[in-house]
Amino acid sequence: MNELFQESSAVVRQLSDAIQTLDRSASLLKLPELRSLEWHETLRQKLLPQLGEQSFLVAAVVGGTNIGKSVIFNHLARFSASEVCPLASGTKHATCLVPPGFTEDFSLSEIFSDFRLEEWSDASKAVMESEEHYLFWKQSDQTPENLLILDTPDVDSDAPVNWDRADMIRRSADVLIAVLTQQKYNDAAVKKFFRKAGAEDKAILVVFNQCDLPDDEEYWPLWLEKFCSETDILPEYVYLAPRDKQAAAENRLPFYPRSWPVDPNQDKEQAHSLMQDLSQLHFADIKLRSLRGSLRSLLDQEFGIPAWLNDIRRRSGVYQSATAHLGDDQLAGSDHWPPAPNGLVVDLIREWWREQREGWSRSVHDFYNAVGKGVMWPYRKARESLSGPQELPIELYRQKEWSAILETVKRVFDRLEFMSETDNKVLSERLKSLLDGKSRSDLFRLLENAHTALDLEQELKETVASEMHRFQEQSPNSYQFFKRIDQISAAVRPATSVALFMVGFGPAGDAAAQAMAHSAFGSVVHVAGDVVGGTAAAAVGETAVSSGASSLSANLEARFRALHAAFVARRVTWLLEQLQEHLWGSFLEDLQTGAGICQSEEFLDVEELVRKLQRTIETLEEHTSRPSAAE
Amino acid sequence: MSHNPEVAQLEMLAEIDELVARLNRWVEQEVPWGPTRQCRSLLKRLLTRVDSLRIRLETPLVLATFGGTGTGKSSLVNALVGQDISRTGKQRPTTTKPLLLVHPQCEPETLGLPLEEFELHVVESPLLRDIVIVDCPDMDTPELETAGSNLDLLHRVLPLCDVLIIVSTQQKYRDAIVTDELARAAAGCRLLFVQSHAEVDDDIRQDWAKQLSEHYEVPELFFVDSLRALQEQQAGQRPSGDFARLQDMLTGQMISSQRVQIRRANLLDLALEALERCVQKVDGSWPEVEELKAALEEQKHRLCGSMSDVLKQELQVSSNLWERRLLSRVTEVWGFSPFSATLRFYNGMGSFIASFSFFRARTPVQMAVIGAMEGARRLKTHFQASDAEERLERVSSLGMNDDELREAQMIIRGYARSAEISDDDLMQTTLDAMRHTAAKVQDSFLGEAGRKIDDVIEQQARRHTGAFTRTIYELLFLSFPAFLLYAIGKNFFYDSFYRGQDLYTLDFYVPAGIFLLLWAGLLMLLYIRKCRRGLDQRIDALAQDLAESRFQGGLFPALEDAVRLIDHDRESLKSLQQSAEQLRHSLALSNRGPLGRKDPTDLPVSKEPSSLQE
Repeated sequence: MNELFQESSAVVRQLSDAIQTLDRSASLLKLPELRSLEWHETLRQKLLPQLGEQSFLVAAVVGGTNIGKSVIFNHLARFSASEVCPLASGTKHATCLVPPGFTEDFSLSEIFSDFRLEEWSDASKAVMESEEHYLFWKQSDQTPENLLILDTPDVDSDAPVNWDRADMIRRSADVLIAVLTQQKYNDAAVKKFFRKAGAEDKAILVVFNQCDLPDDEEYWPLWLEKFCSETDILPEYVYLAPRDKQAAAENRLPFYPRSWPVDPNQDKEQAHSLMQDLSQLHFADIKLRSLRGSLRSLLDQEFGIPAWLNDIRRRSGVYQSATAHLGDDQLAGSDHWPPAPNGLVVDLIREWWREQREGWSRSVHDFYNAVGKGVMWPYRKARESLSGPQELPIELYRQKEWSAILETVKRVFDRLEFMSETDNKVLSERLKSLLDGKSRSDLFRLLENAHTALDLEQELKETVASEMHRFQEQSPNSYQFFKRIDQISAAVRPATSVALFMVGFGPAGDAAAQAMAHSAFGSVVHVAGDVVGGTAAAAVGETAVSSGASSLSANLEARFRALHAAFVARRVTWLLEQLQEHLWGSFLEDLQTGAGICQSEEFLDVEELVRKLQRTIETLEEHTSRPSAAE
Repeated sequence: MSHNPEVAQLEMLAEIDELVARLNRWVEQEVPWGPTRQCRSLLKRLLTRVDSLRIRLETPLVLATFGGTGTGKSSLVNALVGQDISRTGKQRPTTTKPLLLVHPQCEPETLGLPLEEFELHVVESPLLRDIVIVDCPDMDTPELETAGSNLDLLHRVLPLCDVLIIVSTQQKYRDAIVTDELARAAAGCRLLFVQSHAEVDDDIRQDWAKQLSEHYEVPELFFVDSLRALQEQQAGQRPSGDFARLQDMLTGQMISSQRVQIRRANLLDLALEALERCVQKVDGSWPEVEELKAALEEQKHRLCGSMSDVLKQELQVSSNLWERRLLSRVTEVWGFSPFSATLRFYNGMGSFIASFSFFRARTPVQMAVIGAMEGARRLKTHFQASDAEERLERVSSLGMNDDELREAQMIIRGYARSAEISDDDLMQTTLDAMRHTAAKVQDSFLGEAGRKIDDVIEQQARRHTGAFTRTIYELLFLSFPAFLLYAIGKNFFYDSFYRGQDLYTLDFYVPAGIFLLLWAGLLMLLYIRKCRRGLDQRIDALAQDLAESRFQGGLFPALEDAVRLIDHDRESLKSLQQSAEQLRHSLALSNRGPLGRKDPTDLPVSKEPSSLQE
């Protein structure tokens, strides 16, 4: 038996650590405080300090306010250990009687870890007002060996801190001396308290105080029956104490034992000493029962650790669905992103191409381009003065891109609004702060600043460079082919340029190129030709391409599209980074983490330990039938 | 008060009626705001209670016992009527169905109580002449409020009672459940506090009163031994001690003349508590509305600023339009005179040329400048004629493009959501709707700008159309033709006739004509320059003025209206609360008695155990 307890003690310790770890790692899920959970407090206050330590019993006098708990405690102590007060909610702190030598073997501060321990000096201390939980202890020769006896605050007054203190003592206790009166035996608060004690399988001694004897002799069985059926308790001993203020004040209140179920032949006059009965309890059996009861309540499906794990699963599920909701690719918005301005792309490709030219071909092209620019200059000027200054294509693109960014942000907000309306209590706080007006306008300001400050042309240039570089590497043949054409066109350039300009293709060509390049995805063939020969030589390029390498045209078109796609991808990535920085912060990451908690090692650890503990308890149950408490 | 106390009493009653009427009106209003919507449903529930009070205004007062199990509620009731009516006992709970004790002359149907819930007892007792007594079951044995439980029953019955007799004992007076239930039941009831079991318990009334005084007005507590009192009465004696006082008080205070007063006071306390709660709720959510207000204001300001900027730029570049407006105004003022006629001619030519460019000058600002010259009517017909698309185009011409509209919409939506105004109708959700509003806003802005431009033109014209200026220019202008006339006349009459010299030939007239034109041109240029002086500053000032003017109407007119409505609604709620408080104050002065009550302004912060919260 003892080995079983040692074993379960080890498991419980591991479990406690695992739970702490899991609670810390699941802090995102906004779980209720561990300390507010009954099972956790049982674990902390009862099982950790007492499991494996079966050599002492904790007995506590408990009950509603102003029904004489302290009177009964003083009877046990045989002196006025806890002040008796005619006003309700008098006792506010616990008092503990300790057998001689107990403190040498055990540490009270481990057994009552939540209390501030102070050696008893004065009965009035237990009635002082204080936020802190005090426990006053006193060595007493009257106390049987290895028995701690406590007086506790009430469980039903309008001072909830008293209930908390009573609950803490209840969890630590093995034996409860339940003080009841005819007014209070059926009170909701009292029943609730004792029902918990019943579930933990504590040994209960019932004392009906303030009885009008002998009138109440016929009533107490009714009261007790009601009490037992409501709380699921089977008392070990039952006593009646008469309403006798004088005797109570002088600490000589008699306690008449009654057998339960009622034995009509019992001698009714013989008063007992409670202490004597207490010392005759089967310490080991009671300890075993109460520990087993606490373990059972720890693993209760509805209120124990399994329920807590279910709560974690549920909350983590919310995170999972949120991740699914926001992880959607649609949200990023590459579908509505504007294409890069073709004219500019062509210019940049041309520029890149120029840098690839070498030797004579380079100087010829440069020369003619310079000449071409010179010739075109007046025409451009004239056009500008006629139709006003042209907005730079990159600026136009910037505006369009801003629209796309707004669209994306709108989608994000819509999605978030939808999520917050579907009432995710787990996430609502964070969603609310993401969605409020201030954070929205901040986001727009930050995005706008970042967007205006960005050198889009440089972005595009880099994309072109990397894409063209890829082209050069992946299709060396095509690259060489175009290079050759470029060289040929350099050779015939004087002729083509002069001829075209003479027939008026110069300005017209420029206009055509503008018009076509700015219409989205203008003729790729044209652009390809453009790349090869320069604006004014488009016709030549076209001929060259169509005659020389029609199979290459498809390849080129694909290349061109790939370039656009690459640019869009780059821009979308940029936006996502911005959103991450200015909107999400740690939100998305947290969603991921929260969604993964159910699969996390910490979670599985706790689950595993719970199963292990379950098996231990089952073995324990097999070894023990319910032992009787009294000899 | 000097006048008749009865009149004062009636006045008070009328005021309470008025308050209830105002409450009714407030509740009926539709305001699109979450918190006040909740307040309204709260007050609606209150008003149904008020209605039931009104129905039984003149029926006997209903007194109900209230307390934990075993505190001796039934014993007290028995002692009060001097007969063994209610079952008392040692088993908890004893009473499970409330008892209704009425006098033989009382018709229980008139009481407005759900009689099927009660065990009716007709008792011949002097105490019951003006009151009925309900002996309630306890509230501290049931753990859950399920349908049909004691707790459920209490929650239905207690709101129908006028006075609660709170019975407690040494053991129970600080019971948490009883305390919470009392806070819930006490709203709108007068209270009587009784400690029973005087035969065995210590007197804890002082401590009890101390506990109660935090939330209740407790003028008096009674300490009674119900069993002895009953025995004494059954033996034909007058009961002794505090019990006699209690009985006297009940027969003295609950007389029929006091009924209406007590009920009205209850009603007022109830209303005040509900109003306090509403105000608390509304005030709690108010900062978000303030933020929304500020955001709307800022949006409006930004909109106005950006429109003014564009306006300013356009006004500055449209110099020829200004010139034309100015000149036409000047010539209007001057009427017909040589210089004026010249100006008019010049302007006419300008207009003729401009009429080509008119179709090009499509920006609304230019239209506004042209304004009076082309006729406001023409501008208007132009606006009307232009189809929706063109209107929308003009939206962007004043610095409002779709992106900005969308951004504004998303931001305001965020603020509105936080403020719990998430009615989609109030926020234009589609871009089209936003565009239309924006176009409207711009039109009204331009209308405003047009009027201001007219003013500027008028001022500028007046400054340069003084008699002195006019005389100088007319004289200067006329001096050249006069000289020419003189020269030609001299040549014709004197030189040619008298001296026999040659007449001037074309060699003279052509240069003379050219010089005349040049002279006229020079003068006109000078005058126009003079007219234009200071115009740029005026344009700046105008734009500034427009930007700063509290321009009415923003991009979210419906939302702005809603915010104004909410503001007004909150004010009227507060004024209701203040009137209720005042009334309660004056009532408290005129009505001091042994009956206690809950302090209606004392609201629980975290839990809400009021009878009005369900």
